[in-house]
Amino acid sequence: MSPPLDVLVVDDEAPARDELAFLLRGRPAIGRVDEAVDAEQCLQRLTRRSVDAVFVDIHMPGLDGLDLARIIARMSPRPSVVFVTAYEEHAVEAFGIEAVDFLMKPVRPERLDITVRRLQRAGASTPGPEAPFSDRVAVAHGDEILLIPADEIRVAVADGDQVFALTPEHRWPVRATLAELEERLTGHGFMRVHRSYLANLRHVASLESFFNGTYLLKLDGLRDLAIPVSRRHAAALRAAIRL
Amino acid sequence: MSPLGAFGLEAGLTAVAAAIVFLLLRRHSTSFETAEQRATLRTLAFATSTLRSFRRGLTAASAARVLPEIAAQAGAKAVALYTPRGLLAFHAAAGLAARHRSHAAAAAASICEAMASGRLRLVAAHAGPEPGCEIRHAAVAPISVDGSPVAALVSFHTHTPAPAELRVVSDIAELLGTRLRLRHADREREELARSELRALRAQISPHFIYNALTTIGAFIRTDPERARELVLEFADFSRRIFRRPEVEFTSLADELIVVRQYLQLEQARLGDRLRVRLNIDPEVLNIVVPTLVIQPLVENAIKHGLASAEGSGLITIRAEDEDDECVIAVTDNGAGFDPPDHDGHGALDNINRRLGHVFGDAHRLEIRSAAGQGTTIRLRVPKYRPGVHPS
Repeated sequence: MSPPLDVLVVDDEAPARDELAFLLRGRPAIGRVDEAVDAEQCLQRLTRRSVDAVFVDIHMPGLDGLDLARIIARMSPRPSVVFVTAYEEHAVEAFGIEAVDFLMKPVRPERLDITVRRLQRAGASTPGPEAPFSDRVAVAHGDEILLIPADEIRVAVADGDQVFALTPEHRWPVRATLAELEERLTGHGFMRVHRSYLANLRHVASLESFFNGTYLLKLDGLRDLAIPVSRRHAAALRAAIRL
Repeated sequence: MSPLGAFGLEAGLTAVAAAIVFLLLRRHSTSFETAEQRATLRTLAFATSTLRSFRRGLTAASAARVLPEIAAQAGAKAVALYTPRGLLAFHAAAGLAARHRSHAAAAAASICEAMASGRLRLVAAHAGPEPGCEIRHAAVAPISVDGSPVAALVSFHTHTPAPAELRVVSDIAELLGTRLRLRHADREREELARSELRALRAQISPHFIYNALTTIGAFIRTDPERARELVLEFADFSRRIFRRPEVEFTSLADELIVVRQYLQLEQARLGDRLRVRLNIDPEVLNIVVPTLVIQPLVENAIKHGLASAEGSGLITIRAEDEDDECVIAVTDNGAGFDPPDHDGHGALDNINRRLGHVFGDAHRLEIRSAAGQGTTIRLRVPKYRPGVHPS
C-alpha cells in the first residue's frame, strides 16, 4: 500500500473547488487536501510545501490552468497534474501538456477513483527491469511463437474457440483458454469481467454504468473498445478499482 | 460524407476519364503501335493524376501540379488557369512562350469576359500589340460548377489552333469541372449531414430539460443522494448530446450510454409508469453507428408508449448480431398508429435521411405499427463499412 497522496485543488469557483476537495478527502488513498483560488496562490503554496498532485481547473482568470501546468512541469520535484475541465477532453489534449488525467465537470466519484489510481501509478513509475519469462504470454505470430509481456496486454477476448490477446497495436491469437490465462494472469492485475473478457485493470481508463447493473470498461491504449462487464463481475471490479 | 454517393460519383468520373482516353485514342490512328499504347497509358495516368490533384479543390498549388502535363497533352506553347478574380497559375514550355507570363496576367480581363460566356472561345492573347511576344491566340475553355463558370483553362498558341487542339482543351476543362462538381457535392453532402445532426440536437426538447430539472428539484428535498446522481447523469447526457457537430459517427456502446442516461432521467420522472427491457449482444457493442440514431427512437417510444395512459409503458430495446449486420429494434406497447404518421420534419425522418446518406435507402427505418398493437422501429446497421469511422 503506497503512502497517501497530498494534493492541491486549484479553482477560482468556490462550489466546484469545495466539491472536488470534499470528494478527495473521502478517499483513503488521499492524504492532505489543500485549496487555492488561482494560479498565483497555487504557486505560493507549492513553493512552501510540495505536493504529489495538483488538480487544475483550466478556465481561470489571470494565469489559466494550462499556463499553470506549464510552470508546474518545470518544477522539481514535479507534482503530477490532473486537469479539471468543462471542455471536452480532446480540446485539452491538443495543447500537448503532460497530464495524468482529465476530469470532466461535474466530477463523478467513481471517475475520481480511477484518477487516484493513475496518480498512484504515476508516482510509483520507475521503469523496472525487462519482464521475466514467467511474466510473458505466448502468442502465435504466423508459424512463430512470440512471448509478449503480460502488461502490454490490455484485454484477452474469447471469440468462439479462439482466444485473442489485444495490445494497443495488435490482436494476437493465444494458445490457451481464457480460464488458463485467467489463472496465470490474476497476479498481474488481470480480472475476468465477462464470460468472454479478461481485462488488465492496471490500464483502466473509464468505467461507465450501462444497463441493469452491467458496465462498460475502457482501457488506456485501447480506448475505442468498449468491454462489457457483466453484472456478476461488476461488484468485484468496482471493489478492485476502488482499492 | 456518404461513401455510397461518393462511389457513384467516382464511377461517373472514371467514365469521363475513359471517354477522354477514347477521344484521344480516336484522334490518333486505330493501330496500336507501342508509341500509341504508351500515349494511351500516359493519357490515362494524366487523367488519374489530374483527378487526384484537384481532390482538395482548385488552388494555385494544385493547378501548378497539373498544368505542365496539360500543356503536353494539349500540345500548347503555354497554358494557364484563370478564376473570375484573375490569373491563378501559368505554365510555359521553356523558351519564348515563358515571356508571355506577364502578358497572361494583363489579359485577365478579356479572358474572364470570355469565361463568363460559359462556352469555348478563341480570343486575342493581348489587348494591344506586344512586340517580341510570339503568342497570338488564347483558347478559353470555361470550367463550370452548377451552370456557372468558376474557372477557365486557357491554352496559348502562336497560330490559330486546330479544331482537334481545341477539343483537347475543352475535354480537359470538362474533366476538371467534373472533379470540382464532385468536390462540391461532397461538401454539400457533408454539410447536409452536419446540419441534419444539428437540427436533431435542437429537437432535444426544452420540455425534457424542464422536466428533468423539476424532477431533480423534487429529489433534492426527498432524496438528496439520488438528486446528486441525477445531476451527474444530466450533465453527462447533455455533454454527449451537444458534442461538436462534426461527430457524425459513434460506437453503438456510446450511443447506448446516451440512451441509458436519457432513460435514467425519464424513469426518475415517470417512476413505475415506465419499464424498460433490454437485450444487447456484447458482440455488437463496438460497431459504428451514426450519432444519435437510437435515443430519438426511445424518446418516440416513450411518447407513444405512455400515450395509452392506463397501465404502464414497456419499452424494449434490442441490439442483435445477425451475420454481417446489427439489428437494432425499439418496441413500445403503446397505442400504435395507423398508418405511420410522419410529416417529413420529425426526428424519425431526420434519422431516415441520415441512414439513407450513410448506408443507402435499403437501410432506412422499418416501422411496424398498428392501432392497439404497439410500435416497433427497426434499423439494420452493416457491421463493416469502409469509410465509416467513429469521429
